[in-house]
Amino acid sequence: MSDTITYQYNRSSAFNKSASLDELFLAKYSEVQKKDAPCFFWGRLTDPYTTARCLLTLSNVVQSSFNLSPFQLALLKDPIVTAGNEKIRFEGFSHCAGVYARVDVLGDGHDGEFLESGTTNVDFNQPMLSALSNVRKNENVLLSIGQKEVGLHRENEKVIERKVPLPVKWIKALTSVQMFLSESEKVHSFNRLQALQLFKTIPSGKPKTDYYLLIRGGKPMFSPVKSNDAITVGGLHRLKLIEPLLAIADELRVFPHATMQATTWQVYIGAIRFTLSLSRDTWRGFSGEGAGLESLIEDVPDNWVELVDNYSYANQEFNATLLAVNEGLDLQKVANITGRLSAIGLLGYDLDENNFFYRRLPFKLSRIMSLNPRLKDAEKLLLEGKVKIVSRESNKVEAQVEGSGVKHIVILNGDREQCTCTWFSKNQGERGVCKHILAVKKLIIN
Amino acid sequence: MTITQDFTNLLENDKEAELIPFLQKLDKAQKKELVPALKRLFKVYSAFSQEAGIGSVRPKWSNAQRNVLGIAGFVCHNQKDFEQSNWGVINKETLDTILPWYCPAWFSDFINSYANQDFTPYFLNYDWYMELVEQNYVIETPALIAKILPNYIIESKLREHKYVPENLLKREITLKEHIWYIFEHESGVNWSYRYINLPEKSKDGLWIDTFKKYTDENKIDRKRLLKVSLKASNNNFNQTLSGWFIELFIKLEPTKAEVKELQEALFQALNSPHSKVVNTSAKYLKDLTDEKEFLVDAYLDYAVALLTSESKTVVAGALMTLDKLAKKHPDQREQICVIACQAFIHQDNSLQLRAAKLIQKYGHTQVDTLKETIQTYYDALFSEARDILIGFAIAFVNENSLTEDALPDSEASIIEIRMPENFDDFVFLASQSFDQNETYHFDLLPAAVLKFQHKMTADNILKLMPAFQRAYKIITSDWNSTMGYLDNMLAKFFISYGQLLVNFTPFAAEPIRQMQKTFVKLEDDKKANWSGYQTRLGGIKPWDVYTHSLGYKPHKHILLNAFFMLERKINLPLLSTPTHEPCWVSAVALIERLSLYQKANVMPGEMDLQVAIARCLPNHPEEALKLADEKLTGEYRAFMGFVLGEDNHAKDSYKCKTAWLMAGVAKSSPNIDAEWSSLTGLSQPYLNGEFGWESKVEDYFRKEYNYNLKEYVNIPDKQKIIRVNFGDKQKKTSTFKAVLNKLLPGQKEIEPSVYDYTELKFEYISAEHNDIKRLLYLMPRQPDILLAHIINKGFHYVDFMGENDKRLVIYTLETLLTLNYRYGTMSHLFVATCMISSDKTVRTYAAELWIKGVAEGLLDSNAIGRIIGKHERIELAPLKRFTDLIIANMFQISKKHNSALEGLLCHCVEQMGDTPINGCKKLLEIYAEVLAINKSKIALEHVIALLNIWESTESLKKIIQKLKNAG
Repeated sequence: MSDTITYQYNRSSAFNKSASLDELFLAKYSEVQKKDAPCFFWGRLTDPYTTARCLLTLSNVVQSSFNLSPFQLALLKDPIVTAGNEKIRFEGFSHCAGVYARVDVLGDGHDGEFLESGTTNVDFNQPMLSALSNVRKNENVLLSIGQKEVGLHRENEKVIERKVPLPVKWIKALTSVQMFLSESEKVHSFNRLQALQLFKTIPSGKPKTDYYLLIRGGKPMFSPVKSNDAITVGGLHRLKLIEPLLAIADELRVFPHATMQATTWQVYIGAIRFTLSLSRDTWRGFSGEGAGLESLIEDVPDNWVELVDNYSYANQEFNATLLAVNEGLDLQKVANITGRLSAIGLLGYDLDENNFFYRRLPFKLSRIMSLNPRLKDAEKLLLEGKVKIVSRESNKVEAQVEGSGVKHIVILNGDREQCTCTWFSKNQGERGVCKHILAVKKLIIN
Repeated sequence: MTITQDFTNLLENDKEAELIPFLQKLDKAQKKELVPALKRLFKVYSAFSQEAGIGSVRPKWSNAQRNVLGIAGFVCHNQKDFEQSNWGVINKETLDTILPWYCPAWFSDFINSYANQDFTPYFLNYDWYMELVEQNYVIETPALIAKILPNYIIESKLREHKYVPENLLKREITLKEHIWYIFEHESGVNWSYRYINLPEKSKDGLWIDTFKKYTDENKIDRKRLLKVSLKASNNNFNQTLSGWFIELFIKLEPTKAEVKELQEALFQALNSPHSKVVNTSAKYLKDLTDEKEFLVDAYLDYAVALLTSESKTVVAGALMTLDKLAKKHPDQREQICVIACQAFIHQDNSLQLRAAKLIQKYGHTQVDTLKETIQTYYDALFSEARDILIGFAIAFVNENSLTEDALPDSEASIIEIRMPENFDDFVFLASQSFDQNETYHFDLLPAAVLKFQHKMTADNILKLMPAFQRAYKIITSDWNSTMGYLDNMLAKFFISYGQLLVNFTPFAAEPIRQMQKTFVKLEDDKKANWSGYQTRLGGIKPWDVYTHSLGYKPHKHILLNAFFMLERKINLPLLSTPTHEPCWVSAVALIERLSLYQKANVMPGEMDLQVAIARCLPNHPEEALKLADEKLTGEYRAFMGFVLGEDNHAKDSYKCKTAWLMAGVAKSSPNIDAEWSSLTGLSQPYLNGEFGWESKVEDYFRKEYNYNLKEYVNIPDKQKIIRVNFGDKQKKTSTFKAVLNKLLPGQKEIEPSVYDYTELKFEYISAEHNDIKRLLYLMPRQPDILLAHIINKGFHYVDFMGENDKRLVIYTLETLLTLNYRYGTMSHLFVATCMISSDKTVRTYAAELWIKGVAEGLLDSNAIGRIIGKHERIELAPLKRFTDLIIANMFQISKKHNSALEGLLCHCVEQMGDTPINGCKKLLEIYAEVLAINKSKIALEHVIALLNIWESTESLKKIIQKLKNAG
């Protein structure tokens, strides 16, 4: 698999100004386009000002990096957009893959037609972003994702190619973040005032310690002190990315992950919703958390992907049971199908609707599957015969896995999984299981 | 001869002159043929190697050879290959000899690709680029022009620089089209000349001067320039560039008529994420308010953004504008009042007052939307604004008020620590013990080793091998940022135990022997390669920290105690192993453990017992006393009874004097009874942690490099410092008594206690911060002595010098939050000093400690106030840090807290000098607000007297009047 990804756009995205109607044209490109779909959406934005502010915030997320990697910072990754089922969703990640952002333009946020449904990369270039900065309130703006009329595209115009090294972390994070979202629940809902008050308590600079969202004296605030049920936020300064949106927000909702491994912040502005998810800490991207690993222990049959592809359309709610019934799949085998499908980039997660939705990442499946080094390492251990089951009782498995210089002990006891390796000792399973446990599980299942 | 051979010959023999005729002869196929050889030769000639005799490292090629390879590459390679082997060939001089007869198809793309790079290569300048464009070698790209044009008004020769704005006139297109590209693409126009010194001109604003010059001369369209500079300031460029564009706009001094025309652009600029742009635009818009062309609706749309701005001036300006608009447009008053409510998010009395007055003036108390909006903000209002808006009240009880998060209740939420139950649990504990996942893992590991010492079969030892490997790696690898010296100590204890196993059961412990051998070899190899290398392997017995700090002794003694029992195969538990988080040993567990020692007739380790008593949690005393009656006798029963509340006393015949001392200290801290201090050689003030301290301005010498003398010189300077004076550590004993003690038989020296060993010793902090929690957990009921050391080290320079000393303080604060003890002098000093720290996290922690301490009645809020007052007498730190902290974290927590805050503020002011310091006004405003809420008045006469003196300061007059009238 090539280590470079080439975005090929027929023309650049642009914000075209005219006397009566401005047009936000977004050029698109997908590696896995099934058929030629020139245009996904074409229509008016009902609140172009808010949409523009949200897209700019998204671009700020995409251009940000919260750990030091100047090389990576130089590479702009284009956000992806999913259009269909009356919704337009723009998604992207920071370079460090620790911040996920999504703009959902819901039903009332647009007035136009979905000519096709699907997911694609969209070109976010500087001139277009500059133009977006100047969108006024009450302006008439048309949005087109892809070209509606091929005629617009001049024959001799050059295809715009942008080659970037394969954003491995980025794609991997897109497949992992859905797991965190699906395990998050709403805990707080703040009005604009409370949200602004809360953000005023973010310390300046880059705090290195965890902060906790708690309520003191009737006010929400961030404190470095943990108290009962407070929400843990590592790398708090990252949250400032959504600060510019608060002045126009109706509401801010906070969704912590069940074990505080991530927090999600949703800003509601009319029919537009901005989602920001923060990983556990600045140095921990969603990509490295191994959230999807366990879902991939079992191989995903190729025909499933095809089935799901045929069965669903973009942004449609995904219902595993219904799929199994309609397509005659054995329900036993469909267990955890959502986890497995999102781990290969077929599903996104909507926190408000509390369900997965279909959206196929515009990258080749083979790319996505090649992104899990821990899983590959586990497979290597099995291949080299380094895994030995020592004992196996009803609920308990003890195994020995050869490491470098020592044999690690793996014990799976009900829900409790333990290993003697350094990774496990340090993280105690918080960042996904280690390759040794993965290998043992894979050996047992297969 | 082949082409390749010809070329190689030419290269090897430095025949640079023959290169061009050679290349000119090549057809397309021949060029392609030459490519592999070129790549190979480039690799060989560009490789760096050490030059014989000189010792410097340089590539193999000569300048001529480098040129030959570069030019040949330019002619034969495709773009990708050329980019990989481009070495100094792209310059005007070289390319002028090639381009007339050959220009690669990719040349234009290659040059223009610099538009997307973070840097601009030195060889690329506007003049040459334009020549290339004019000669059709390159297609003109606006983004690249924007990048290189900023350098065009300076000509540089060696170190000489000359300002030449007339360069812009060389080509008509420059001022006509190209100059505008700077406003559309990100460039370095704002910092192009940062490193250049011009003798005749200030380097600041060279480009701004240039723009002004040519607009004055009508060579640049002024109207367009104003418009684009404003637009560019909001073009999503970086902060400094955006700021530069708005600076240009300001320096162009737009007239009112011009600003009027730019209204829409100014409104859009309010969206900018950069405060300078927003503030400037807001200022220009404010000046237009009275004009009839002013776009009122647009202003109201954007007013929210202005009212939530961080800048007080902007918010005040916006409120002023809204006031004017409300006066002028009666139909929009309701909307204006609702918008003005946004200003209430600022915890600033004057802003809130201004907004409230506006609403009072123009709002109708019957309008529901307005009432509802005010309702939302009501909780955030200061009393003055609240009073003004009373007429708008619906019912000033916020039904949606959020549920409070409670602080962890240290007694109720006490969590039991699980001791490994079986060997597998022990295996997983051992493998993570050196990571400090929990502070008590340090205690748990030796306890578990003792517990499972009789189960060390060959199979079980094999299971422990990953843990042994971790221990060896911890000791032999480089230090990492989360490791403390205690982790190293624990790892050494564990490998020492491994060696013990090798002696006890050589066959079963063979893998340990092998591992030891491997690591010894690795260490020997390192030593052989690096003469200064200190071998790191070694056991627990000789362990020491490089500072030889006594502070680590208690931990080492406990580990040695465990090791002693392992050596002798004694099957008894350690006493100090915590049973409850974070460090507590339950009284019941301690009684059980002591009874085992009593039964076995073994004396417990001195330090182990001391720490166990210091950590003892006297919960469920009745149950525990019953158990003590059943299982203990003699001295053990007596001091456990004392720990659990009985009025027992240490008898002369008792052996465990230090244990009695620990129990006495735990019970009576911070005012330790004399009875207990007789059990130690430490002086009573020392044991109490009652040290003198002062914050003062100190004369010192600062080292500064003198360029003329070419050496460092001492410059006298002043610094503000806090110093703790430890006084006499040991009791003063008369010489006669000392001699007598030595002569009299049976006089036993007093054993040192944990407090004798309490010390934090370092010149530069290295890993001590990672140990501080565990050091504090040795004395959870009387941490004042260690806190005094932490203050002296952590606040050596008041503001932190680095991340480690900051962490030292943060970890200390974290630990204090988990403890429940009565604050002594040093605890108050520590918390109060943290409240004015330069780090917000530290300040917030201190506020949380204050909240907890007030709620549980463990600290004296007035004492905190007095300390801050003393610190601020010399303005040890900006007072703003403290006032911001009060507003954000300490104000309106509860009635009890408001009352404590009042005391704190009153005593803080009491300690200040006759001249009010910076930020006093805000402090007094908060004080007045707290008094208003508490319906109280100034409690100390001295404060009233001081305020009378301060009243002569004009800016404080009003607030002092208010304070004096309070209550």
